[in-house]
Amino acid sequence: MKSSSQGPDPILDVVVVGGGPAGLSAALTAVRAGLRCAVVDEQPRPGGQIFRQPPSEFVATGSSSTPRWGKELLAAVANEPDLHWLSQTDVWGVFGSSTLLDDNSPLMTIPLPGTGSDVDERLLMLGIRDRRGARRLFARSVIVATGAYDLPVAFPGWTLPGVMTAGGVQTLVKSQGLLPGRRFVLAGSHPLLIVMADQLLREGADIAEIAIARPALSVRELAGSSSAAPGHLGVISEAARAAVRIRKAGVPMRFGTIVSAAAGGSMLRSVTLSSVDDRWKVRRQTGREVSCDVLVLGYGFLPRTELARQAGCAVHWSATEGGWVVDHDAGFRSTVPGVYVAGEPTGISGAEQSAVEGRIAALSVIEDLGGAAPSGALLRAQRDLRRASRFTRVVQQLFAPQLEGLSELADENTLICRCEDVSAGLVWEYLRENPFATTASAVKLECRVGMGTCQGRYCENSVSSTIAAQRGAGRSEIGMFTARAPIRPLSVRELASLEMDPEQTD
Amino acid sequence: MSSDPTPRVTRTSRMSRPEPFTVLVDGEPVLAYPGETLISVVLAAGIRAFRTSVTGEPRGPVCNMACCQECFVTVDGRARVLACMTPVADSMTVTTDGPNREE
Repeated sequence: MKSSSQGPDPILDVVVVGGGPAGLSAALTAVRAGLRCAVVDEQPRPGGQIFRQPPSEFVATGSSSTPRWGKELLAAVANEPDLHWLSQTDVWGVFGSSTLLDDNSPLMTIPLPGTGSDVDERLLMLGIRDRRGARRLFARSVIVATGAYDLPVAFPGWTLPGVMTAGGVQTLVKSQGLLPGRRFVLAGSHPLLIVMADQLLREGADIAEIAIARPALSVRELAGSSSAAPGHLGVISEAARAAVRIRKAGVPMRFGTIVSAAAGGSMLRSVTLSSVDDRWKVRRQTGREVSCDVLVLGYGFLPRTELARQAGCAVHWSATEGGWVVDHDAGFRSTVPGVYVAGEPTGISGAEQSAVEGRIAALSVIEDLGGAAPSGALLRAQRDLRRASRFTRVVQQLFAPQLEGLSELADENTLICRCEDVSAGLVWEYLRENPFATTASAVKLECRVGMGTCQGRYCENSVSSTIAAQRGAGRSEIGMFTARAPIRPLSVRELASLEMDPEQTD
Repeated sequence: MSSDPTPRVTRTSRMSRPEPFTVLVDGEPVLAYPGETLISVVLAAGIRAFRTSVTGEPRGPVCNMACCQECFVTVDGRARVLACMTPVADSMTVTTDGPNREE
């Protein structure tokens, strides 16, 4: 792979956004078919969150949690000479798709570097930003493989320092070799939480308790899950092995238990764990206080769709796939010509299925650009997709978060939007006084939720779940916040530096 | 909890690191290892509150992947730098903006 300092060609066949399993698989498929391809990713090294690697300065000793196929994928990427890797780079917008007002963006009419002529109408433009500032990339197609992030859940005390997501703690441990505290409580429902507890124990962490919101798995559920995944038991079997070691270590793991509050002054000191019913509603008078300085939350994942939505891609609500997911055809083409999607933004599905989707999306790009894919590649990928998706469906069914129960954890003083510090009480009051307001956007406009620097990623689900619970409305009716460029905070200075494109004019 | 109220952040032994250098975190010299991000360096310095919210609440890192926007620090005079996305460099000066740092 080529590092960013060499700079990609002025016009690429495809830019892949996201360097996780979906994006890397897509890029390898595209490059091997002779396409000019760059992968843009925020991190220094390929892998995404799930296969996040330690920095190149570190040497990891001992066993790695990355499966063999993941290591092979990372090695193939490292050894692929024609793959451009734009590291530590964000994409803040995709422009030029004919369905958008963004087509009139003045950014599109700046002459293409080196040509002196205007940009070809058929090209897509990506606004990117790295250490040197904002720049533009031009491409015939874009594959959005932006992954997922941990479902944020608002409850009293969730904003205290020390309350972290499972992904946050896991990446610190795995890629930085850092245990961010001394005494941990893990709470949530996803089986990855149990795998993570096992990793933390091996690193010497003290785990006070593991609280799993769903009831214990029945024998019937376990039998169903294993028969759905012949040959690869994946996450569930890994979690089962981890659970045995956790029990041996004497760490209490309780099902039907949720974290209902966190407390402390300027940092986390303790949490309250409560019993819940099978809809995850807290049973009164069941709270127990447990001391800890890190709370790890793992309730599942939300697809990261803001770039796809900003580009104009249609989305739909699918509770069993993790929420709002990007519409696509069997070839993973979105509703916007030239924009493809792969991995978690198409529905939460895990690393293996994501990698297969990346291959299929790249094969569609090859076809749409008039190239020839290796014979049999599509049939093989489609077969792999069917196999992976059977397993994914079972995991999602067994561990899907109960959003309504989670939305009832907030009390009136709980901050639902942690950027603008908007309380749940303020949102409730607005909904009471405005009986006809039923959309997430209406609440945003009036209450300022989602107007801060995280751009709604941390409150959108809580706000919409609250509206759903209070109005009895469906999530499709409630909608989402609108995603507009720049989808990442961008300084005016960075934006102003664009016109010069200093890196591209030489 | 035990009698020691100080949170302890540990660099695990599974990672072998190059020789450390010194950086300033809130005016105190601390050791940092090449390859670490500022989240690791600031947490290892014993600081939990990285920034202060618009209503004065302490906030610290949540996601370690640039989603939550809670880990802003000031680096060599440049404000609002995401600690999770910034590798440490020799002789950096890092300033946090948490309220009520001592408890």
